[in-house]
Amino acid sequence: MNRLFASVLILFLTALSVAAQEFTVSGTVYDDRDRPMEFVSVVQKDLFISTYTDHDGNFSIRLPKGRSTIGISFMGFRTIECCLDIDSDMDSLIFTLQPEALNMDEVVVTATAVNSNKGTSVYRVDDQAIKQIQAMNLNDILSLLPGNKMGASDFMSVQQANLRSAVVSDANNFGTSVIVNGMALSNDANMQASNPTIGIGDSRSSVGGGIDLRSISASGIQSVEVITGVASAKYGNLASGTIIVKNKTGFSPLSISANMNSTSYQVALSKGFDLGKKGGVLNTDVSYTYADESPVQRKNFYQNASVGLRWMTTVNKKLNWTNTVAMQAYLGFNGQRFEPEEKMPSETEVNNQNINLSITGDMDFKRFGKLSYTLGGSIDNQYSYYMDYGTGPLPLIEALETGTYITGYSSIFFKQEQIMKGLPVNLNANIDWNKTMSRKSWSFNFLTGLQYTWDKNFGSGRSIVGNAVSSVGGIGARNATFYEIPASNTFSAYHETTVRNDSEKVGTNMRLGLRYDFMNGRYHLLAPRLSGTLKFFDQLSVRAAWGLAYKAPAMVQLYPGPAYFDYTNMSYYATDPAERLAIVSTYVYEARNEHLRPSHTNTVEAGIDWESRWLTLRLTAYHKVLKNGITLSPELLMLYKQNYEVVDAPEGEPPKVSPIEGDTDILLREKLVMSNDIEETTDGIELTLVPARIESTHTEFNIQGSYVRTRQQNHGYKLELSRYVVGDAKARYGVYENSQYITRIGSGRITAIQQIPKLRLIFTLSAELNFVDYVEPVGGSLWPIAYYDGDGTYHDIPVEERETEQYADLKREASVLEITDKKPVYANFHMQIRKETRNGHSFSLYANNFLWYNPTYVFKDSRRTLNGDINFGFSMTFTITSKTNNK
Amino acid sequence: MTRFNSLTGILFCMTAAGFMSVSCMDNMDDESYLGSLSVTVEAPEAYPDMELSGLTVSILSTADGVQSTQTTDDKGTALFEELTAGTYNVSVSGTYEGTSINGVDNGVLVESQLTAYSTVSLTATTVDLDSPYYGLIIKEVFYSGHSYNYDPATATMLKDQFFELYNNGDKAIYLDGVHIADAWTPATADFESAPAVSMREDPNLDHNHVYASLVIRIPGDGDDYLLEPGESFLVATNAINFKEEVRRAAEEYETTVDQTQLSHIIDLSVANMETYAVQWLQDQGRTGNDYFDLDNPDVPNMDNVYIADPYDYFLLDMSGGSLIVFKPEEELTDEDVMIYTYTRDGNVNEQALMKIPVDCIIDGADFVNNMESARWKRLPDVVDIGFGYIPNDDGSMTNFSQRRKVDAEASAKAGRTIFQDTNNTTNDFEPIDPPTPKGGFNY
Repeated sequence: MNRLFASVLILFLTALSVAAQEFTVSGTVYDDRDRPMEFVSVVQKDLFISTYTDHDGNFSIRLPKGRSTIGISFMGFRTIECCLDIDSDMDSLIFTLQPEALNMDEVVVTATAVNSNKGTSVYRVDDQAIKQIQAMNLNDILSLLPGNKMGASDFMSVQQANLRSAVVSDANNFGTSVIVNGMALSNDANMQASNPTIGIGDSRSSVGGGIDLRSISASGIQSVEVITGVASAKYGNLASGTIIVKNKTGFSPLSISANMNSTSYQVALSKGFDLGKKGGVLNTDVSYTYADESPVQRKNFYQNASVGLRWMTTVNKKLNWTNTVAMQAYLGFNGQRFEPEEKMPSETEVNNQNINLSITGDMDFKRFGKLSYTLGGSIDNQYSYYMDYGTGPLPLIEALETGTYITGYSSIFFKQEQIMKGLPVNLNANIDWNKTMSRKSWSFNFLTGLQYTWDKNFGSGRSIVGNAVSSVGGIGARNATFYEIPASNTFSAYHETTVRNDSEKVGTNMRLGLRYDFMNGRYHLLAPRLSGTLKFFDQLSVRAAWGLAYKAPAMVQLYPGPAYFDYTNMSYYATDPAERLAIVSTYVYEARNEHLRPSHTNTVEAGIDWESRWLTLRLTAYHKVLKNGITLSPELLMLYKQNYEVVDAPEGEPPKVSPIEGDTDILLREKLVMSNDIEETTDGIELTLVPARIESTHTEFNIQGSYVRTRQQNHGYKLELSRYVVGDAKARYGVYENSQYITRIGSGRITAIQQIPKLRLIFTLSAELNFVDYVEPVGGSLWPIAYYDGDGTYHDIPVEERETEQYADLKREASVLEITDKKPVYANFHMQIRKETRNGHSFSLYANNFLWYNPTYVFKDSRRTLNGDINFGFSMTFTITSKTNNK
Repeated sequence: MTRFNSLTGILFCMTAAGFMSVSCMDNMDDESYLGSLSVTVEAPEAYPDMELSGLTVSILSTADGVQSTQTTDDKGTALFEELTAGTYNVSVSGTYEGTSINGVDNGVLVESQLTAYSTVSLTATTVDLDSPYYGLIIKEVFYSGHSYNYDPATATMLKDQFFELYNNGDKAIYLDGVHIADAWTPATADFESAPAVSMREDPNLDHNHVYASLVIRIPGDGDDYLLEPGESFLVATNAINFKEEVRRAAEEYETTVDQTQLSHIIDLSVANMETYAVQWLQDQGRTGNDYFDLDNPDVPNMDNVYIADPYDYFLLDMSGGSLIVFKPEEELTDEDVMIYTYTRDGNVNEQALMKIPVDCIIDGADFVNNMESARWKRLPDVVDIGFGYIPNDDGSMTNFSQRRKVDAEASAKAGRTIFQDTNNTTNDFEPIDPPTPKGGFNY
């Protein structure tokens, strides 16, 4: 490690000591009708040097001596990549951008593995691909990544990104960072869990997991970049990948689109207004989505509305200071419909109103580098309402303190209401300084930054009315306040040095990054992130990356609130209601979870890229270890139950009772404690293979493959009660080691893309092939390693005695160590057709599983069906170019 | 527009094809879809020379529940003609020298234009007139419960299950120490996911036992609970007047109650005894179920012996309970517990069950989910040769109770209600709605 730091330091010092050899490259960008274009981005990607064109289409950028590839891009236009050999100032370069349309060759409608000289895996999905699959939200877009499956959008439950893992786990998706317009979205202060001591999940709430991808409408998205490998040191508070969403910015005509399938529809508008020479550009997008549960079930529905506003201006031309103010508002609503025949139905309503505001910008101090800043904040107004008519009679109990209470019974039918009002607020700031230097064929880029994020929930909390004894000994929920929970905050600093040598024979690119996080005032975390690429003869690249990342525990994990164990001491349900009485005890367990540590991910990956006239191949192998993932582990709780006797039973009133002295029973219950016990080791291979396009027929093939193997370990123990007890004997609790679970998923996708530029038509047909998909339990035993007897005393079981008949009642079911499902090799087929008109209107049709192919297979005597139902969708986009917007 | 028309054309053709296939289906009534069934009976071992003519043979189509009856000829044969092809359950009953004679053959396949043959071996019901429990029978079992649909009247769900014993004999019976159990089965209906082997056919099991997941016992020292001839003993899960509770809840929440639903709701405060397992399960270090299990101090509680599930109570299988009444020679212990392994839906499952010797069973009544579920019978033929089911909506949560039919002839002779007891639940019980706790003595 020391040697590493030393070499970083030497590189840094060398870089500073050399005289910068930089030249100014300037030019103008025009559109296809020779009109100058504003806010076109001009980027030298390897060195993070970028600028925008001004109102007259002019740009000026300082680049180091030697070869540089610059990209000139603007939404809706085909990006130009241009390789310059710079050894003096260059000016008057002229670039003409062509609008991206289906009459052009080589429209990209798949996720592309970005030509990564960052040394790590990055996938990019562009506007055309988003249009082709008719994505409604970010989750649909992610279906294009290798290893993901296409299917009908599910709006009924929260959708979270699960990158590079064979298992869907909260530990993994909680650690996926989603960055929209430069600002990381936060789910850390989300507390909308009805009873966090039982389990945090709820299909309608993303608490304790990743960002709800349904809330990010596809209509405003220009491109999505997914870093599945080692992210730059700039990105923190993550455990598994980073999704970078770029919204549309820049002048654009009004676009109206409607997108519908059998369960949902979305209408969206977007437009970029030119506010004149000083005013910059204002982009707006509005979308509304409505979805039903299924084509035949309309009980549950979901709707959301999203509004985005982005105002980009040049504040100071001399400094090339551009500033963007972005506002994204989102209203999400999970509701239920009622039929008049439904008498006293249960009711669930989950509402979210979210506003994100960010200010981003950069200033170019020429020789002194570039300063970028992001100031952001979000407020999420959450309201969850659950109402149910419970059926009794049950002893009613709402005690907030440990004790024994005399109470009455509910009627045979009673109402219970639970309301949660959450108000998570996030503030964040980021400032970084970026400086490039070069000497001979070497160039260096230094990125240094500071970050601060702050999360707090100002919500009033949970309230429960009509609480009854949890009938089967479960853990009850009661009121909790959110605003009393302290805020969590992270202060971070990062530095990344990029070293690059671009020569035709051997090109080198190295990123040496280091990130320091100070989380919640107690965790000091250091995360190195290194990656490098060697490129030979512009064709073959070899890359490798290694990095650490940390994700702080969520607020709901640190402060779940108290748990309530209720149990009945005495039931006295007399025939005469006036004589009834119940004696109930409550034990309050105050969960203290300050022992929780951040989860920790160590990623190593290596890859080979081959680019030639005939073939593009990218092969990546990775190994990712997530440690200290948070889970709920059982612990034994001993409760003391005082027995009571009836002293006197007067007629027409409740009996007189008194505790029987010395008659106390011990009740053993399981409580669940948050612990850092999850470890997930994932190994995988990702492959993208694109043979050269057949120019004569405009046909292209794209082959993606992925194989993932995740080994899940829970370092905690498992408790299980005796399987049988007869008569007056006492049950005991067995203590077991957890088995490990190995999940293997291997799948591939072949996409055939047929374009007919003359007809402005594009047709894609994809075959999803699933090779492997099963979970295998490994290790673990059916027999306990120890047990708690009926009095709660712990007894170790010597190894030689473990598998003997005296523990027959504690032997677990054999099936827990068996494979429960193993799918055969099977396929699924999808197609999309899109047609554009000369005016830029676009019509498309897609069908998932268009052959309605549902193969079946038999596993352990049971026949199972694969693939979902056929699912059609249709979409139209109209582009309206009004005269006033024509410059 | 032309394309639209051709689409319409295709749709029209498809619709027409659909109609044609429907009209083909109409031909199902054609004679070519009919078959015959010839049933031959064999004399019971106890009476090899028994006359085989004049016995009643009933067949039931498991497809539509249509029943037909014939009497055997001199050769002991009955021929059913013009039957719709399908599966039939055959049941034979009669009496010989005052003893009831029974036989069944379930799941006989009748194919179109063919004659199927079924041979039914008869068994004679042996009655031990000297047994102290002679005449103790199950009169009624209410296992199906009510389907909860957010109406106060259906909030009882499974809380009002009950069973009722009856003294059909002529001597008083001491009930002290009499056990009641629910025999267990991995499935009660013929779902695709059901295990391949039924417990009755499992070669690895000892068929001199019945396997139960719930066992309770009537308390007492031997002379506490006397049941006189013609008296009944009602055991409720909860001795509560549910009708009254529902009325009160509706008042509290100012809602109306569905009167049809309410007419099914019963008063169980008249029970002789109720079950209560929360306290006992807690003493065992387990949990119990406050939700379904309440204790009415005014009604004595049954003793608990064995409940498989730590969160359970005396809950009969709502899609077909199999009740047995028995008196074990020795107290049941964990030595009598067995882990039964079976495969269902591709998963290997296990269930801990109490083994009960068949020879200590006093009476039993076997109920399954529907008429096609004969393979999920749990009781051996010596206890119950037939099985009952609720014809509506696959049985569970339909308010229906299973009650023994009254033997009118015997009742008239005895001058009090005598229930029919031929050890054949198919014939002896009928589903009724509403249930009749402490009722139905309609002689």
